[in-house]
Amino acid sequence: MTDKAFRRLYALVIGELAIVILVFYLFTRIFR
Amino acid sequence: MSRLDWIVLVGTLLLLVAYGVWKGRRQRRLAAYLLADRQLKWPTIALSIMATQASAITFLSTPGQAYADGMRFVQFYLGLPIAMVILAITAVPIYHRLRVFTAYEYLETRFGVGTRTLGAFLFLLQRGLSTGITLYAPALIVSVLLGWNLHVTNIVIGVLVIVYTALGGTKAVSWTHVHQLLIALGGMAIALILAVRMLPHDVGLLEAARVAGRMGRLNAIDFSFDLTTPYNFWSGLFGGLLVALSYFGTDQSQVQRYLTGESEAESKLGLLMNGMIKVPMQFFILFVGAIVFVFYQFIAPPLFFNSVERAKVGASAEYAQLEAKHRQTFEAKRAEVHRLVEAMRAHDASATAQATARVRELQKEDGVTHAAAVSLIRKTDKAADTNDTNYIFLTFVVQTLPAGLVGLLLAAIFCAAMSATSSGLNSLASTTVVDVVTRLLWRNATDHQYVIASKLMTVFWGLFAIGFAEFASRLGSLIEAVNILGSLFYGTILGIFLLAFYTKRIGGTAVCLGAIIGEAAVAWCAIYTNVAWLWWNVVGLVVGVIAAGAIQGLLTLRHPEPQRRRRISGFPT
Repeated sequence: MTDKAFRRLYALVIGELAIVILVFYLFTRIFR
Repeated sequence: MSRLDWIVLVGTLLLLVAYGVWKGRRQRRLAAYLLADRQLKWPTIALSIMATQASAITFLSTPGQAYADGMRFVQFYLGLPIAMVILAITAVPIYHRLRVFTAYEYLETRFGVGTRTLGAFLFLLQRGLSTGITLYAPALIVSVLLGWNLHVTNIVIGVLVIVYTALGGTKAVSWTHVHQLLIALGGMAIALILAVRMLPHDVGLLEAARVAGRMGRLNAIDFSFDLTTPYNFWSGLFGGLLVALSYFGTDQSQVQRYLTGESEAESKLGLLMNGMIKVPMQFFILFVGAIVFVFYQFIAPPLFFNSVERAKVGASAEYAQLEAKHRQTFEAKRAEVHRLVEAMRAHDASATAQATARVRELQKEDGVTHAAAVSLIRKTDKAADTNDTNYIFLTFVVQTLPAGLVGLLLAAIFCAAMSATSSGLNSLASTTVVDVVTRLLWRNATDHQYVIASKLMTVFWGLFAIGFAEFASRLGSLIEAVNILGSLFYGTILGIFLLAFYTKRIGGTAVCLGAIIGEAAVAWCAIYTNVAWLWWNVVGLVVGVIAAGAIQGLLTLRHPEPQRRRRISGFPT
């Protein structure tokens, strides 16, 4: 894999974390 | 347990051991034995990394944590994906370029053999003890709930792990991880499905989630900032980030998993996949606990889940009174939970609010009864284990699941125990042989002799873990105990490695002294303050790094001399 591909993968990992946090937040709010 | 359960349990474990020994056959070179000849691909690496971290404590204690306290423990893992990215960028290229066998070999290139030995020693101490806990935890819980002899259970699990880890090396460990993790997760999925199916016919998964939420069990995110509570967004992101950086970047039990990569890219991909899957996986395991909590709103749970401790007070009139009160509260609460479900289904906001308030009140009342039971148990026996969260999930499995599935779930628990223990033993043996034996004691042996030494060290550390497990006493929630033990050392060790990665001017003497001061600061926090244990990582790191910088400054004033990079000496890579 190229460095550019890895940089995209890093962004994907961090992006996924952001989405997961958002999902957890909505989950907490909806089911409170 | 039924005969079918025994067949499933024993069959699964023996097959795994045999598979591990077969996979690791014919390994005469140390690179093959310790690093699987650096031939593994990223899916195996990713699953091996996850299986190493997810011990039986994860699968037993975590659902119990969700039952008792809700899902906020998931926040502990929020820093992990960020740590995976950082390590893929920094640590992996360095380890691959130097072709190290252990993380501590790298320290010698920067700071000399003293710091390498210090790092290795801190690892051997921390991992040696925690491997004992990893072995002890499932043995204790299973022995309590099934009446098995604790010592025999401990020894049987320990010996099974020693056999395939010593004979098969890293290849056996990594390949059995793949199957162990899949079995463990499969078991949890079955438990979740059955827990939902055994709810009343008018309560489906969505209603169960709503009930759990209303009763405070789906509290996955908490944005409040409080240094004294361990599980909130901030401690998870920052404290958890440091724990993950230290654990995955400097703890040999994890580093060895990705040093087996066929290339730097395979190692990086393995870490990054772990970063993407781990947090949702932990959420899933906690969610199982939350649903088990809902299950026990409709089926009466025991007042105290640890049956051994319960038996000590079971005959007393006082306990009988508490049981009666608990039963009464349960009946009232069950009726209210049914009303809550109906009100939510009818979208009646006022009835929902009323039922929620009443349910919470009754839950609090039951909490008081539970606390009274705990007091009574402690009064009867001062050394009693009064934290029953570790027994909740297995009680559910043993008392409610059908024959065959109990055996499968137990196999899943033992798989998880074995996966973490095997990584621990494999890494302890590596560090002992590479950083101590070859570097300091026995420098001219042949490759094959070092392989024999590694196998013997695996057996030694396995026996040590069994021995420590025999003496391990009650440690509260075991998943917390393992992480608290880690947090005593991880911040300091991470400080040593960060100084190695990112600074040029700080030398070995300053680093070692800085590490000692950092550890002293952590000890002070642990003993004299109420600061939550996740923050100890930050303390150890910050104090250690600042102290090292200050000491180097003083040393440079007295003896101005440039630092030279050193080669790793000792074992040919």
